[in-house]
Amino acid sequence: MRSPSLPLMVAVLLLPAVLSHGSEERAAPDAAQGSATDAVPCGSSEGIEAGPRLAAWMEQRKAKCAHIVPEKSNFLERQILAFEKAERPSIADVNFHGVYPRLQSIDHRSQTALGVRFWRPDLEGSRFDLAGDAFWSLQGFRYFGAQAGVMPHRGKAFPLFPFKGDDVFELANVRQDDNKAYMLFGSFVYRWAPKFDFFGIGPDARAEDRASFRQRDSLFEAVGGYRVLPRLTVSARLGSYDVALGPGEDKVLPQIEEAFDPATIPGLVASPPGFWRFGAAAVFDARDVARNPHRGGLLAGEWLRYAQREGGASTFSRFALDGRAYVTLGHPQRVLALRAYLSRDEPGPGARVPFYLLAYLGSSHTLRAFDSQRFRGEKLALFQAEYRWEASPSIELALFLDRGAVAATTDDPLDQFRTDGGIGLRFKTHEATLVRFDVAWGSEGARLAFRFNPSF
Amino acid sequence: MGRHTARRFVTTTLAAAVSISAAPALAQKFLPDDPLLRDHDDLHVPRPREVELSSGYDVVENTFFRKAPARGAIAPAGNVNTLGEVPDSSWWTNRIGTRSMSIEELVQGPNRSEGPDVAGPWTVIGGKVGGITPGFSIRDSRGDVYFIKLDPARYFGLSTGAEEIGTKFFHAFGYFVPESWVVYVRKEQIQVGHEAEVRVLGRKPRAMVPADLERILEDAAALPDGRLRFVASKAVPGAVLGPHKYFGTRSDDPNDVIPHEDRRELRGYRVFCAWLNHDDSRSLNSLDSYLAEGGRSYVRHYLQDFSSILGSGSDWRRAVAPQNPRAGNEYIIELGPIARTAATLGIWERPWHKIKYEAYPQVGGIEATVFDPDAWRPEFPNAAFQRMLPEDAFWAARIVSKFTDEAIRAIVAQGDFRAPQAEEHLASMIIRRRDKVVARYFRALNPLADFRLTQGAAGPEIAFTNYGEDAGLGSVGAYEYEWLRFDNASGATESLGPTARALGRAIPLPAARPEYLMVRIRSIAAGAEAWKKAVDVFLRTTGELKIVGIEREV
Repeated sequence: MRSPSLPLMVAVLLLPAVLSHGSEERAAPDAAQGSATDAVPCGSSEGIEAGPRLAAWMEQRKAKCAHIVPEKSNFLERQILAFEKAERPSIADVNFHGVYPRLQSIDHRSQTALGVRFWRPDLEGSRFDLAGDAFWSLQGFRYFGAQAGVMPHRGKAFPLFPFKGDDVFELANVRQDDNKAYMLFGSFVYRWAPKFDFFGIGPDARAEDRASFRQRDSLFEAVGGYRVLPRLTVSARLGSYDVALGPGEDKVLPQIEEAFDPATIPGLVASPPGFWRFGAAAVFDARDVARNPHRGGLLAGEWLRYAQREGGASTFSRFALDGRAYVTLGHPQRVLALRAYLSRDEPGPGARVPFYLLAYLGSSHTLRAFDSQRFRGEKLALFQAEYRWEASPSIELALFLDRGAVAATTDDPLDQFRTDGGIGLRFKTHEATLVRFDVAWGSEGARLAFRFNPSF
Repeated sequence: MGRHTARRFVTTTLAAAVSISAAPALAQKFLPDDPLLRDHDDLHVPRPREVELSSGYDVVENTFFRKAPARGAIAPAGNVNTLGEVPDSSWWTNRIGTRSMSIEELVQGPNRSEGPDVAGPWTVIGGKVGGITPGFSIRDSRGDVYFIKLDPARYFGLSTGAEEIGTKFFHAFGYFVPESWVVYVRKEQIQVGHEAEVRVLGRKPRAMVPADLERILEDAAALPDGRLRFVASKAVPGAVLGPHKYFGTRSDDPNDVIPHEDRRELRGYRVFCAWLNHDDSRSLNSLDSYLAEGGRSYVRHYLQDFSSILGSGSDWRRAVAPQNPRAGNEYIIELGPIARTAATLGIWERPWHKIKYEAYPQVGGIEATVFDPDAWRPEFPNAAFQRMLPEDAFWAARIVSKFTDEAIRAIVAQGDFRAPQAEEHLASMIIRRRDKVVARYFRALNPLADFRLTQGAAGPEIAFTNYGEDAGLGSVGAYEYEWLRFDNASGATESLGPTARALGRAIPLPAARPEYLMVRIRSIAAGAEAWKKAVDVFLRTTGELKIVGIEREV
């Protein structure tokens, strides 16, 4: 849910006022000269003494008097001008009392989803914000969310919302350029994902074992955070998480119960338990520009506990670290970007992490040449390197390498690394990646990622 | 014209640029009113429609939709007289290029009034938040309207100084520019008027409230005594018609018959902009005004907004900041460098990446070491700039050369930076850049100009100035010349004697006095091959002896 929407992209690509340096019109605003000469015929040269050269010129001007056509801009110019002058809202700003139509991807395999985002920042001049989302995808995915409280944001920009486990770096980050140094809000999120994939657990999961299942989950939580130092933010969260599983709706894939022995898949039960979810996180963000970094780094650490509300067979804690470094190579047009992401789950004695809560590799942000959620496990290590070079400040290319491994259980070694590599093309502003095309090749073929956010 | 047909001579007459029907007299090369010193493009015309240009479309159109013509396909400028000079018009007034201007005149610039009353109250009648230079418009105690811009506190004088200096320079060149002053006013003197509107970038205008003014002024540069620093530009006379483009003509202005890209003052504008790093020389920074004079109403063409010239520019937030090194060195969108950087994995770097600027916050990013007048770029292609021919550049460079070191320092002082070292640095950059401009364009052709008739010891002579030699670019050993009889009707020439040499900058007139005389002059200077290109000077002998035409081999 962190992607800028397609309409926003279209608006940006129309080259709106971003390119403007502005101008001042310096004629007197109440000037209305010319009225005294209204009766004078066009081309009048009264008082001008003209020789043959000048007379010839004046003749041509007089001749043009008979063919005056009002100056008019063409259609494209008028449309761009309308955006620049905000005579009509940009597509991205079209809303009805804070309800914005959107078209975007909402989850793994969701494909395009149509929906609305509700956003009423700083209600009535207060620090209180309201947000909400409702999306339906072509693949039958649904997503609903609502937040209320103090949510850091910048200007009219939508806030970032936590949901997915691989977003540890965003979870607790009150960004330096946000308008508030703290956050305190309540959140509800509901997700209906009828076509999630499951390949097995651990590094030996095979692509041909791909099976389908349905996951419906909901999360109520309260989130608080504070920017204790300009670059250091801490946060805590407490909530309730519930999940329901069912048959996947992907007709070409077997159901998860058909492909796997339910007894070997932790959490694959008819009535999954509910959880209390709570945790804390700290983020040290020293990137020069958060969503278009050229130097600096980020270090985020999170502890998150899922405590089964009844019984304890699925209770576990997750410790995750996300480190990123951005090194300018001689000039900011060349950047070496490095990332290490480590995650380790600590189940209670005799407990196992439910398969649907396992950390995973395989996505446009992790192992890019592999299916989404391709490898799940209680332990995970991911290393990424990108050499990025800017052909211009708004066009970036990249060569990248991803290498990662999972272990089925915390006690298993991380020794079966998967590797992929590829090339990327990104269009950016100074502040953010607008569009990213990454083509990755790995042992299971090639994949194209088309996203509206940075890889890391 | 003999071998003139093999080489291109600049026959820059008004008649050549525009097809004029039913004018038999124009069959002659020179007409009785040549050379025309004033182009009366101020015939009465009905009021044209006010237009608004899109800044984004301006970039797109000029970058992608308008292709530069091949070098050989560019016609000479269409609005010069038979001397190759630009007559006065609604676009241009000859100033320093054709007459001496005192320091006082230069620093006075376009100002004809006293400027805003800084002792009385200012009533804000409109505001702008955002853009390179947030600002507002006011009515002073005298009732005059001014447009006010300011600097951020950490860049005292950066944009306002650039605006003031630019106004003086571009006025001295010959353009119409608004009157402008650097002023200091206390915040308490400024009040928001009842009917003031504010424009916030990308939003609809709304009623302005005191908080808007507070926001505009919150980070304004100020003197130690608390007075805020502004540059105040007076509203130009007449009614606003919007900007003009650098190509085509206005379809609703009958006086506008010469395509803008063929106007020498707009082609040569490139030289001035390169000299002063006016990379923001886009249509939006021009302004047409409809005004009445002498019982006629017509359109006058202004240049405005010089706050982003010299070392002043903007950062990615579009706030006032030292000029980005790209500015003046590469278009916003230029495919060549993009492709080259992409193909070399970013190993190839733009040469301008290595430019080092002196760190004066008042001056910003301007340098003279890497600066190359030919390689200089505005923000995006400009049709008039793309058509600048050597003779256009020579015309402009001659004007640039008229600014002495003393004159430049005097104009820079108008920036009122209150930082002597910064001021001297800026002046020295402008002086060094002037020298580069002059060197580049005076070396491209025979740099003789300012032809005049004088009385020598042996009789009448034709004297001239050698701009190249005066700029120290070479030393002429002799001037080779040949007198010819010129037939004004047919254009045929007939030699009146053998080629001769003169050691000085004066050539004696021949005894023969046909109706028209022509003298072809070449400068013989070691290492300056281009100076051997011919300059033909035409004289009319009937009536008063008069120089009526100049043509240059290019």
